[in-house]
Amino acid sequence: LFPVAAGGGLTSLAEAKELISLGADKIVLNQAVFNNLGLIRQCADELGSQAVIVSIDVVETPTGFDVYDYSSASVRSGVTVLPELLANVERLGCGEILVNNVSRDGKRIGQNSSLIELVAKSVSVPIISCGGIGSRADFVTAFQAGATAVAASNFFHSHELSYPKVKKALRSRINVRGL
Amino acid sequence: LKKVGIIALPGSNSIGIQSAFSRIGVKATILQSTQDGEMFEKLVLPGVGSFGPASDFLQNSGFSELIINKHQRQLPVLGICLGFQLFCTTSEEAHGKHGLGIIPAAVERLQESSGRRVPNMGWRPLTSVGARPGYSLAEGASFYFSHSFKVISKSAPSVMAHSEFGGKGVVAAMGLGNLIGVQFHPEKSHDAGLEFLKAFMSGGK
Repeated sequence: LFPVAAGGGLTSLAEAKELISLGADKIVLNQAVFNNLGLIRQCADELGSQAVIVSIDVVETPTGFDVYDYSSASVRSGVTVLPELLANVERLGCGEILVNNVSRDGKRIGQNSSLIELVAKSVSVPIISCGGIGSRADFVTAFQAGATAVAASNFFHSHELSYPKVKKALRSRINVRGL
Repeated sequence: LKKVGIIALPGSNSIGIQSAFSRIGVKATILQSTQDGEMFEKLVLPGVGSFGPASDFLQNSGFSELIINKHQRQLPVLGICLGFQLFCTTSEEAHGKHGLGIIPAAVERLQESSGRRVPNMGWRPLTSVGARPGYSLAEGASFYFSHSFKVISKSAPSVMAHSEFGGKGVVAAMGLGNLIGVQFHPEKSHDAGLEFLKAFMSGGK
């Protein structure tokens, strides 16, 4: 009874439609950013922008952020790479950006506010920020930096009652579902 | 007569809706063609998708006539999100394409404003309900929204509930006789959504 986003290995509109027909509400594209930008447009045209999430892996560098391609384990460097890529996927009809900060994945040191600010400035679609959450306060900080939604994994597995506690901490700022 | 038929709009989340109905003890069937349409007491036109392809599908599959026919006979039809928008006349999502024209309203793009990002994604409260809301719709109750377009209604009495986006009203639910359109996703809206579906099963009460 909550929205499900499904992704991983999608290479065609037919596969995306199959995931939706199997019960997903949204699909997630990652590799399409590097090798099949047209797929983002196709999916947005057929499924609606609200059903198309583009996930972008980002690594921190001494000067800013690089875009990381996990399949080739390579980075695309340069200060304009991420903003340009974000603007491009938005133009193609992507309805939501999942920005995954690989450098902080599993570290529980909090999210990188400047990354969230950069993404928020680059696109006008909703942003899900992932990578680095270690405490309830980290969620609040990420929302303050401009995230529309915050994703975490490790934190929810390793802290007792983390889910209701996070909701309580956020309740005064954003509308969260009942506990 | 079987209870609920969910139209298999390509690219829609009909399984999610079916599963929500099963939570309230209703066995809903996904309709692949209009052939069995008459066997169902209530119809659901699901959301997720895009106005252009969905409008083509309704015309080509014959589901258009089925829905219009059910509505004319005062049988309950529920449109969810895009399904609701398809009850209307036109949409900015697909210029030149036509909806079913049951609700005399156009569908327009949401405008970004005051830090509100489009698509509108998330858990939003109903900011007002009409005089005759029914369907368990109460002011302050929250539902899940995921949309870039909204119905612009000129017929205030048909509007059952509003939500809000960027300081402007969004029609959250509308009713024309037994035809109900909702912009939110009851099947993704936790207890409030299940209560709404229960009310739909009992004719709005």
